[in-house]
Amino acid sequence: MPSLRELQTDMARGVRGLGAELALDAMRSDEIAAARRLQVYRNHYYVTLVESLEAAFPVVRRLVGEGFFRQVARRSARMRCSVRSSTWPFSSARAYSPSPCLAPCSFTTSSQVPLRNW
Amino acid sequence: MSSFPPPRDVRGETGIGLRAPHVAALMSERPAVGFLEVHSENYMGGGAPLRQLEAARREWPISLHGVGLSLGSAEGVDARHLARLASLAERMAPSLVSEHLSWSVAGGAYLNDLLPLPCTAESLTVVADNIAVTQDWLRRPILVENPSAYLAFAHAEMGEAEFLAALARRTGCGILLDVNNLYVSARNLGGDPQAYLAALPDGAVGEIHLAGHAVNDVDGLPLLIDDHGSRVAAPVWTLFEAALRRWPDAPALVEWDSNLPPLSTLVDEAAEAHRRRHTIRHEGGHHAIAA
Repeated sequence: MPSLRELQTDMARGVRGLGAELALDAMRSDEIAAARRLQVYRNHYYVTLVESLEAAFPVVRRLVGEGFFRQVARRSARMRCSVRSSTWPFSSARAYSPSPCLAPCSFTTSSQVPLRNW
Repeated sequence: MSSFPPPRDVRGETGIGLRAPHVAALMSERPAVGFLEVHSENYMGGGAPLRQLEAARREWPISLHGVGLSLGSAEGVDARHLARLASLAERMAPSLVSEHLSWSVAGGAYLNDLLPLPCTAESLTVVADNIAVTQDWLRRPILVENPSAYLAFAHAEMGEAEFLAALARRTGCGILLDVNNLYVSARNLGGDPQAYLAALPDGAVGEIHLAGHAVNDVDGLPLLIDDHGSRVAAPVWTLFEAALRRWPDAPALVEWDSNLPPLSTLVDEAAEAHRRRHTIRHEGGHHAIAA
């Protein structure tokens, strides 16, 4: 079985439409094939990113027309992935490397903590 | 440091998700809702949206519901995103802070969706560590929401309810039970929602979400989509009532993110949720008193 990191890397490619053989092999297929199920996420990825770009560049959209704008936006979304969890994924010309992810700490890992009563 | 009073206890309350198109109506009509919930990321940039949120905070308790922290990422949570969330939480003094059992970051790239992860021992360790880091940084426990699912993994080692229960025991986090997501996932992948509820620990559910969904056709077969674009469906109300019988004081929140109706419609849905809570409390002669 792939590690979680391997699975997520491959799924990320699959969501962008770049192929996801490893992830698809790990998914359960039934009456609806795994590839069709992954497509739900792919559709959402493109729809929401294109909507974000339309909101960020309304003038460009009017100038080039909606059809051409969407075509370019989809192509851009396929080739370049956002590096920040923002609603303006591509609107900044600056590229910056992701901040270092925090390594897991030993806050509560090994011992059982009392179940908080919410 | 927050300029607001300490967060109010919202147990037993019913709130609505606050979206930008409703802000003006909210401030002019001042509906009787118990609290407001917002997407944390929408306010991390400051400016006018943050000022509007602060104006709302003066009138209602606030719940911060994040979508971008990626608690399920094998590479850990993003330090800058966590810092922004912590700064927002410190400023707004929210009653609740929550995120999702999902991931959206891989290889340093952000995918704008709540992607599924397999319920395995490895995933449990990854998510528990990320929750621990988050709670340590925020200096408060968070709630973790069950996602809507459109695919399942063949190598899962436990059910999602068992996974969430283990997370709660391991980290002290609470569970944000989205009954619409529960229904959507059960219809899409099979599974018994009542058994799911039974597998969650007593006292672990700190909030309940309600929303609408759409029914899509995939090659002639139905696939439910959690689009938050309509009224709560009847079977979801039934699950909500079942959840209230287990967790009668869990605050409830009505979400509506697409095909936005007038604010009054959202308020009506919240009133319906509140009415059902009242009915549950008084059914069978039991008179549970809210905390």
